[in-house]
Amino acid sequence: MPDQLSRLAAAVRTGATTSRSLVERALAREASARALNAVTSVTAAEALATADAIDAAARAGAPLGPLAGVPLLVKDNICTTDGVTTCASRMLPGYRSPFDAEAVRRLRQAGAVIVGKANMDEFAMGSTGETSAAGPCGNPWSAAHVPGGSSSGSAAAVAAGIVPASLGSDTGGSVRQPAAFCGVVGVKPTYGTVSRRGLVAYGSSLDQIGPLATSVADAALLLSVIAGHDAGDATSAAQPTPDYLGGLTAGVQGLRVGVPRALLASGVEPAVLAEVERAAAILEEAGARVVDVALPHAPVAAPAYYILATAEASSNLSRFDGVRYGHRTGDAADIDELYARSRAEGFGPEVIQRILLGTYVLSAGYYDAYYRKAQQVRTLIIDDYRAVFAACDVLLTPPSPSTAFRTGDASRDPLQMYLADIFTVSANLAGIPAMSLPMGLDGQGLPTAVQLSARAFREPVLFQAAAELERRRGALPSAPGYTLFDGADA
Amino acid sequence: MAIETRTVHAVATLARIDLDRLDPARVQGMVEQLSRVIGWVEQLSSVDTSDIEPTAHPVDLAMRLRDDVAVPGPGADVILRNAPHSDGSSFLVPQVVEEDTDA
Amino acid sequence: MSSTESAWETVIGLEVHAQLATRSKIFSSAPVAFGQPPNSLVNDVCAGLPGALPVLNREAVALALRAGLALGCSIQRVSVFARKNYFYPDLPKGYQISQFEQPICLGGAIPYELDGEQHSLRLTRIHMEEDAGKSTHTAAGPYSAIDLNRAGTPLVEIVSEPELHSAEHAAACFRELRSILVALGVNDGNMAEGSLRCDANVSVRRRGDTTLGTKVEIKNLNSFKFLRDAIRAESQRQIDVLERGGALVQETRLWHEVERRTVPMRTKEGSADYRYFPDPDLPPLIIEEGWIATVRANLPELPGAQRARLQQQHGLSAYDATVLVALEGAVPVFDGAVAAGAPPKGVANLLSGIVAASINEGRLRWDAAASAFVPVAAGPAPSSGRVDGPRLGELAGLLHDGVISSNAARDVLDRMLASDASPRRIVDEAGLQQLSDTDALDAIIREVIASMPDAATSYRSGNRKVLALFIGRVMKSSSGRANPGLVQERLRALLAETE
Repeated sequence: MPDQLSRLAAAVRTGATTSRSLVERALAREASARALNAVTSVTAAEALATADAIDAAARAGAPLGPLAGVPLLVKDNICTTDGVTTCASRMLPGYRSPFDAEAVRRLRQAGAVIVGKANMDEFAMGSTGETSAAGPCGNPWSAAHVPGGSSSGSAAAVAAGIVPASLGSDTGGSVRQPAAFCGVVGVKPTYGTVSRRGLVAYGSSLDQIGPLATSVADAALLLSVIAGHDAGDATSAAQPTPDYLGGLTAGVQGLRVGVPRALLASGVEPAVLAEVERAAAILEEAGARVVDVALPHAPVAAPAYYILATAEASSNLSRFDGVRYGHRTGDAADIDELYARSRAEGFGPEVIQRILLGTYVLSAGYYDAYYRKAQQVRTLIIDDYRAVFAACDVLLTPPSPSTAFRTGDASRDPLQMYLADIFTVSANLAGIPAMSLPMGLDGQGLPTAVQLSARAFREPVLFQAAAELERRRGALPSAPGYTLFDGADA
Repeated sequence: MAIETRTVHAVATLARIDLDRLDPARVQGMVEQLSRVIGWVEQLSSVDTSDIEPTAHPVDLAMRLRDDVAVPGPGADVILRNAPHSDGSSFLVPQVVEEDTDA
Repeated sequence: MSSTESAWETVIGLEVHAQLATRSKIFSSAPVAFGQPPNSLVNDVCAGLPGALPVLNREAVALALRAGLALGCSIQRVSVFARKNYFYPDLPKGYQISQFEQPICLGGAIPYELDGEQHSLRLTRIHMEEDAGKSTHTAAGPYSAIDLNRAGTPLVEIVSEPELHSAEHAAACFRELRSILVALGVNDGNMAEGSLRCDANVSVRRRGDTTLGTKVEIKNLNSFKFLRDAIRAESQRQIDVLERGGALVQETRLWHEVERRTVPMRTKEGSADYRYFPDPDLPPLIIEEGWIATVRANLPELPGAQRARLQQQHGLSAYDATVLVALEGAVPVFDGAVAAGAPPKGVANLLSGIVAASINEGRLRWDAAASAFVPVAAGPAPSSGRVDGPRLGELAGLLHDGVISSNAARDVLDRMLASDASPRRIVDEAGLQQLSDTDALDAIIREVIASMPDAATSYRSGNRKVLALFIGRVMKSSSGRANPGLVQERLRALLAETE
């Protein structure tokens, strides 16, 4: 489990390698992995110019940041001033943002080089990578299976070695689930940790930008760069950012690990469940204490999530109306026709469905029954976690009931997709941090993973436990036919 | 059906999405799926939430205020940069048949 | 009022939108200004660009608190911003950030005066919200042009109970509200520029009924006259419809000044389901007691209190007090003049007379920072020619002491605008002292009488009207400086003398 990021940055700083060579490698990897469709746009000229400037600074001995010269991708719903931000939608073809997302600004300040945008489910609504207007994203592990979503490209590109790390966004599991399906580390930080300024909003009270990387140390480093209060985001937490890196080697002696056995009793694939057991055993061997905990309201988390997320989304996506940016219909007799046709033409079916559902649950007469009710269930879930984290320090669950779904499964039931979010949505509802850690492969050769979560703002203990698990788990192979960015094993 | 086609169209009007632009079979599929999803989320009604306060924000935050300092905007050309239709200084839309809002 | 009208009662409620006088917008740092090139005061937040987020302006809250406290509202410790969702081209996000179930202020009242009687209009609530942009017709084709400069300007919406019963009361009440908001520094009172707008909810019912009739909202009345005329016209329209046996529709209408009637407005949102929900981008607004106490302690004297003080402490008439309070800057200057020893009534007369006239002519304006009236011609921050309390007071004193006549006062004021010299010095240097020396006057008068023998004869034979001719000639001979009262007295005496 090499910490690629810090080693690459150190090499650039000392001149052992050049940022240009790293960027060229990323661009070449992207070109050769084009069939994966993990990347929606590349900003080669800007990236190379930035790389050259960093190399010049390194030669001059100027101080450089912790990600100096390292090429990264960010999900295509995160605004960048170079290139375009399309949210993988026909609603935003060629949109050029006049401002960088705060997370992007911090990446650049740390010396990272953004080489392009990662493919995703349209407007972050999906869990397969198949709803992208730029075409479905593939899973490097299997052409017959999806990479997951909605941060499909962010996960696939790291697993395929196009870049050493990337940023995704997580509203109901959209970093953790594709990370699990693609065998990489994915973190959703505590709500308010990373500024949402410049993240195209889906579910504003649920969204967080999060890192995807090949090791816990890399994910922690990347998070430490983008985390921290931003006065430009009123929901940004005021707490000082804790040290995410200091406790990575602390071990888990005396740590309490909670497993919600009742919740795992049914509906989880045997291979996935086995990984949870294996992880628990490893941690116990390392000195942790495994305890049984209860999440009584977990079964209603997904319906509550879908009400709240779609309600917020229905409002957030109203701005896409063809007036100031984005797709505008060719023929409209009046303003209402302009809106209704532009939006019907620009949005894909999953997005339209979620906007309709969200509009419905907010509409007169239904607000109390659906929206307000879902907010009350949210309180119950927060209370569940309060009790859980009184009994344990980290919670251990699968990230998803199964490994990667098959592609193009026409018989796949969309409702089943929503139900599969059962293990991830609660963390967004409660605002707590959670992460996916790859564990191995199942019988089909698809990545398996576990999910760890902790109390709000307790990322350090999350990383501490994950790092120990990662160390004892040992090295994992990279996807067949691919090597990680710096050639080492995951 | 947990939701009727008629209601879906009314909601689509509220949301300014013209379903007639879509393939009718697709719209029918959407209505069916919406109905199933609404039937699914309806299970929340069986959860006892008496005396439970709704949560609007997951983490307890207090509003942080901004000082009243004016910073010039980037200029109309930047603001209009992505506009589908503009006259160089304003966004243009089909004439809104209405008294001017310039009151 | 016709006998038909007296069978009916009009019920009016007011909804006033007042822009808060901040430098930047309510949820972003874009500047607030009027009359700038389109879309030049717009940033990503105002334009509703993807990824933009709102951050609340502290000063907007402070001004809302000031307004709420001055109007006697109950300030809510916790208030919530909510999204009001609808589609309109001047609304960039497709929703307006407003307050719905938990506004910043509840209750309160607007005190106002009409025909010498005190009244009070109860308020329901005051809440904060953002303004929308503007859409205007363009000559370039069948399009509307959208300018988002105004989008995001901070507003308070002041909602009254439906407890007014006449257009006169509505206008008087709104006028006083405007006065209060201007005195507080909350709003600039500029209705022509749209920074203060009034909507009126009008319904009628048979006198004696307690239920409310169908309500019609008349929007965007931006003058007191329009408010009064529109309410009268709408009230009559409703009565006419009901007396014919027709039914009224709850709708929004606009005042058509040329046609002198209200006309229906095309509704912005087909079926107005705004789907309000708490804005997830904004945590609840918590107002601490300490902040409320500070704002309360710093509230300026309100117009009603000023009028009372001017009458009780300085003996001004109700009329004079009202005129002064309504003239921006007059009260601080009055106070300054009186504190320096000037006669109150004299100062009041100058203010409501030649000072007000000079302002109307565009030659003088109030400069709050300087706490003085300043000449307009001299540019933004003239350092000379100021007319503050003590300086005006000195002028009042000169008048009061008879050093100058009232005719000369205007001349002296004009010279004061061009110089920093004291009024006394100006009078001396310009030779504007009133001629009150009896001997000198008599000399002039005798000369004039001698030069008009026929008029003198006419006068002595009983024609008193020709006195005016003599007065005119004497004033001319003395370059207007002769003391008018004395002139009359001495003319009569001297004309009688040679009889």
